[in-house]
Amino acid sequence: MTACHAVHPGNEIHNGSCVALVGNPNVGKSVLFHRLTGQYVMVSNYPGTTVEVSQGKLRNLQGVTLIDTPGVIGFPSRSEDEQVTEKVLFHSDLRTVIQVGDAKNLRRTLHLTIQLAEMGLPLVLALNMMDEARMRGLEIRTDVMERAFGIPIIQTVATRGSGIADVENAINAAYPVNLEIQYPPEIEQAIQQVEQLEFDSPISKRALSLLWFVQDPVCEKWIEENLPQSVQNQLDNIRSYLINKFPDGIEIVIQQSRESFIEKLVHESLLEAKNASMSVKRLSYLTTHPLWGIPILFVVLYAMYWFVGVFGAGTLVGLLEEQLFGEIINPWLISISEKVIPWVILRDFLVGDYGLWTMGVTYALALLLPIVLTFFIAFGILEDSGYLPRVAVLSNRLFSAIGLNGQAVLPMVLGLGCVTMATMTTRILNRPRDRVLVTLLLALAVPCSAQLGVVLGMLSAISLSAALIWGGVIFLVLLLVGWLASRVLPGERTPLIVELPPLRMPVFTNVIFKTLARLEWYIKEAVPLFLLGTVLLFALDTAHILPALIEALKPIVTGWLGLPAEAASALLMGFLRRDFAATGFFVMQSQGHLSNLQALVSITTITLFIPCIASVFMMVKERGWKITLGMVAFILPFSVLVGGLLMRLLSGLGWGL
Amino acid sequence: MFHRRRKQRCARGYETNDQCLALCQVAPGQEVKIREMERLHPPYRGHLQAYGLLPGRCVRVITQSPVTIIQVEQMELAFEKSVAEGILVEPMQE
Ligand SMILES: Nc1nc2c(ncn2[C@@H]2O[C@H](COP(=O)(O)OP(=O)(O)O)[C@@H](O)[C@H]2O)c(=O)[nH]1
Ligand SMILES: [Mg+2]
Repeated sequence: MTACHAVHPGNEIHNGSCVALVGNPNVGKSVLFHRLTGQYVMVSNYPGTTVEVSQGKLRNLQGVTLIDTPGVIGFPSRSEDEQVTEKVLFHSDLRTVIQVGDAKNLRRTLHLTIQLAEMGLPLVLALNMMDEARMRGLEIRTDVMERAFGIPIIQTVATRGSGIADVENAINAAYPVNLEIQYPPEIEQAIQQVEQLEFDSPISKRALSLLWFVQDPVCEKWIEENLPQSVQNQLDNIRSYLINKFPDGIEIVIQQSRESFIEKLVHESLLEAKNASMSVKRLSYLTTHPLWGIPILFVVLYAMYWFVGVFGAGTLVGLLEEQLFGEIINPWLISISEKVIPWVILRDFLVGDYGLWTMGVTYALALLLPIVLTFFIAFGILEDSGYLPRVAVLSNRLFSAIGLNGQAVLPMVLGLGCVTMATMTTRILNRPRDRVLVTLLLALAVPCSAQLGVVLGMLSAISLSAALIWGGVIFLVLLLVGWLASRVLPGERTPLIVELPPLRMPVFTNVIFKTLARLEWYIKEAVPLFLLGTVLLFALDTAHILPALIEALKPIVTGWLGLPAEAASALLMGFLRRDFAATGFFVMQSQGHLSNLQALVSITTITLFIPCIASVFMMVKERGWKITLGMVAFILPFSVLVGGLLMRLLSGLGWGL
Repeated sequence: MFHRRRKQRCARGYETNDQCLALCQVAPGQEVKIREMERLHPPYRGHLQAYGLLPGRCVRVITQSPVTIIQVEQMELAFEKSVAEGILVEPMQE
């Protein structure tokens, strides 16, 4: 084996302030992060949950920061989240890199190990998921691999905490290595030419050249920003020569050299025992079965509907809003404030119609919180089970109709929880075109859990046919707009390529933690806005501006949508968050101010409205001002247009009379 | 051992016979060896190769519908037929 590769110990000293966890998606990086820092980060059983880096202080090493990075399949990086990780390798003051690898997919793990070892940074490999590897009859001789790579390799089971102490020790002991795999002579020559150029590189020049040859975007950007034009030109020449030499692509040639190195190594270090398939595998097979997959999906959806819609939005909201707040807390507060607060205006501000407590806090805590809470619990369980990527497989055909692939289902389902969060998750999609499309559909037609809860409550008060009409309209809009947008946007559809993680039993503490973390995020984001909205409404009302605004909106609200004039105040709230508007309609409906037709039209319009201010900010952050403005300018009139058309159609048909 | 019926339609111009066929023609349950991936659109080829789907690798086909799902090492990978068409495989010699 020494013939085809070499390991040189590097001699620079790395005493940087950061240690980075790097690895393929879904191998346990975030669990290990928790073990090493004591700090929780999102853990899910599907690739792409971590889209940003998280940082924490290492428990056993003073003053050293541990960085958890998004998963990478390999370099060159293909999606935005992979680029985030590569930038960490290029730009951080790194002391050690810990690669977390899936022991049961040894070849795949080692492909990344090679790339990291070539970079010449101090490297430790944590071979995680050893429990699953053993269960599948795999036995791994790490000593053989340690010698081949010249790095410490530790077998771990992150979820049970085994091997963690060894990883901690290895962080300190790790020293830089320079793995050199033998590539075909043309490539070796090109590498040598790059190595002779005068410049400083954050990773070994050998690794930098290899990334440059395969047109890695992060590497290209670094070179463009950091190297003088003369060096850039020389690099260009070297690469063009290679591209001519290997018309089928340089990447495959490089990969093949690595693959043959790995194949030899695996032959010596991996013992595979053939074993029979397990029942989990059979279930996994059923979930993507074209026939059985659909009923299973419906059972899952129904269970989710029952938990969030019936239990959360029905039972819990009933307990909190009607009984706890409506009958106990609020009457008590109102009577107290009548005694102790002499000023009517302050009393109104706190407990009046648009009172900070009676409207803001009550809705936020009693109406929205239970719904959001139950949704996040259900979503957390789904995430942890590994079922979601299977939904991507099942829904692929549907999404291909709107120019996307099944992978879009992940952000879409998360959007049912919180559109803002989901907009950030669109980073897992590989192409800018797909990200724009999904962002638009999320903003337009995916109701978030807070709104969904209120909407379902209103629909159940009308009739089943109302629910079907609402669902049908939203679904049609989704298909129509998606279909049109995918034709307008340049670029073609990307086919589905997705990894299916094993089905696992959800871990209770993990689900609870995730729910709490998301809830905290939601509360920080939504509740202040909700209170602000209430204060605004109160101010508009007391200053008697509200009537004027309502008057101004009248042609739209009463003329086009056929709603009572007071609905305008609810609609105004919708500019802050569309669920506030929905809540406003909910109250109007329960007070008998809306007919069935009006209720249906109002919730359809508001479902298609801009999600919330926070989501608009997130859109700006992820997609930029221009795209966001374009989307807002489309969504606002479009939602009102659909609402008015629906009203005319339904009243023409005599529905709801 | 192969879906004879599908054979002609989905080989995307590859010359196929019993020794050499497109991945979409392989019946579920079979193990095959990847032979070449030249006909695949380069970005998708790169994506699959990053997962370790390289010429010489042995993979097992789990199902062909609704999409092609294969097992590489202990990992399951799902992709559309249009992708599977571009991968040429050969049966494993026992
Ligand atoms: N069986 C087993 N599961 C693990 C182990 N480490 C992590 N997991 C599970 O693997 C999934 C992915 O973990 P996560 O830390 O989110 O992976 P990341 O994407 O690399 O950050 C989760 O469902 C974890 O509970 C392990 O050592 N053994
Ligand atoms: Mg993670």
